[in-house]
Amino acid sequence: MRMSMRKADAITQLVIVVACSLLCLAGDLFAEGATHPVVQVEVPQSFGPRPLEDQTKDAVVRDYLKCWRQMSQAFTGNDVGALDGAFTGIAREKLAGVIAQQQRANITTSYRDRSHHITFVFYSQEGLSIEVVDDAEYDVGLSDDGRFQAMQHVKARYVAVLTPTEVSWKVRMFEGDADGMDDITVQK
Amino acid sequence: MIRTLTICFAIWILLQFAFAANLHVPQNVEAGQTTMITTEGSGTAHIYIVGPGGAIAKAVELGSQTSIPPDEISNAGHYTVFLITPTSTEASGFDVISSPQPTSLSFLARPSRLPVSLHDGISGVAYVFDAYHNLILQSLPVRFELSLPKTAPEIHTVDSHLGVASIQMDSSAQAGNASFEAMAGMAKSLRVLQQVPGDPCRLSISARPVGDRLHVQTQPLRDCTGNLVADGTIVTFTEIYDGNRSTVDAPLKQGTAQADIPANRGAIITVAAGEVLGNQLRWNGGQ
Repeated sequence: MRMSMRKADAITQLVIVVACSLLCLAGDLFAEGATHPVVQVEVPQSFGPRPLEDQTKDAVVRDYLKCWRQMSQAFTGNDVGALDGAFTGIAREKLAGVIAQQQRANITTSYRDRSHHITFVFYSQEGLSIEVVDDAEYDVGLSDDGRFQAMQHVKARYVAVLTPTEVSWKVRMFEGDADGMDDITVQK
Repeated sequence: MIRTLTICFAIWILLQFAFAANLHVPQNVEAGQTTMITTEGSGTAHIYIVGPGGAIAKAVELGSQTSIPPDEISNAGHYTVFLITPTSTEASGFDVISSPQPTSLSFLARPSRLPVSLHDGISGVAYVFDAYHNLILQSLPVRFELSLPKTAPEIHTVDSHLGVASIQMDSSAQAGNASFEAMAGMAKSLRVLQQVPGDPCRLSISARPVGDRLHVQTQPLRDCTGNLVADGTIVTFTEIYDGNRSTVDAPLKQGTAQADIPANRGAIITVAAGEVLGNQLRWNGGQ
């Protein structure tokens, strides 16, 4: 009798542990889902000498969004290597320079992108470069010497030129455009 | 007790005034210019200027002007400015915009080798940069010039849009190394395109006996715009005799190809280069 009660208790505990784990997992999944930016894509009817296939469009959007994640990862950890998966050429050099500045100042920044409105503006005839304009909203966070200092919500326009590599598109040029910028709120 | 609270409140008010800071930043700064940031109030604070284009931290005295030299911030883009005092945080933002003077071009010209007189055969794409490698997003005229020695250049001007200008051009009628140049302001970039003759326009052969063999030779092979067809182009001579077919491949040298084949009376000899067929000869022993 006592043995069967112990067994029932053990099963109950196991059920509780499994339920808690599932709840935690669901929470993580929900949290991850919540951080995904809202993405709108616009392809004008005529924007360059070459038509844009859906497959190319999807790949470019996927890899452009990846560049934001990689940039945030690189800036949060002051890790230049994190840029390699998404950036090349001038864009990579410039971002690596910014990471060096952060290291000298002993600060880190984080970029959590909230939304993107991506418009394709140029696709070269030979298919070796694609330019997009992105009206982005993101939160930029600042930490000094490992201590969080402040965060601000930013709305800004970015222009990116992507070029194809072996398996993906990489961002070769990445810079803000003064048009469309507007800071919204400050959080501390 | 009330007196102590009043004193504490007064000190707190004084501290608030001491560290109250107003942050003034420019809306736009041109790359290469010094950025001036002004604060109000008194006491010390930290200014942080961050963005994908740069990251700077400075200790400042409130109520003073802080200048950021161009070598610290020159990348075009949006920057967020945080002013952090012991009691408050303020934030603002500004943009660094590219300088309007083009300094360099990233010029992609394709293909590097192509036949003459090919419609829209040449593609040129030029990205325009300032002295700090910022893409100049303002529209600028970009001049594309395709030229060959001893011929008038073909010139087109295209306005850049968001930093890029592109063009498609026909290849020239004349074969040779063509200079393809893109220019924006004082910035220039040159590429060389090899324009090669097209397929032969007309192919004809003649034959003469040499000993017990027959020497066949083409007339100089030219494309439809008069360029000698490129050396090394393979010409195939075919002899059909008594139901048997034999072929000889010969490369063009200075526009002609030649070969020695068996001199069989009654043989039919044909010639071809690529998809172009030439005339047909019947060898009757020189009669």
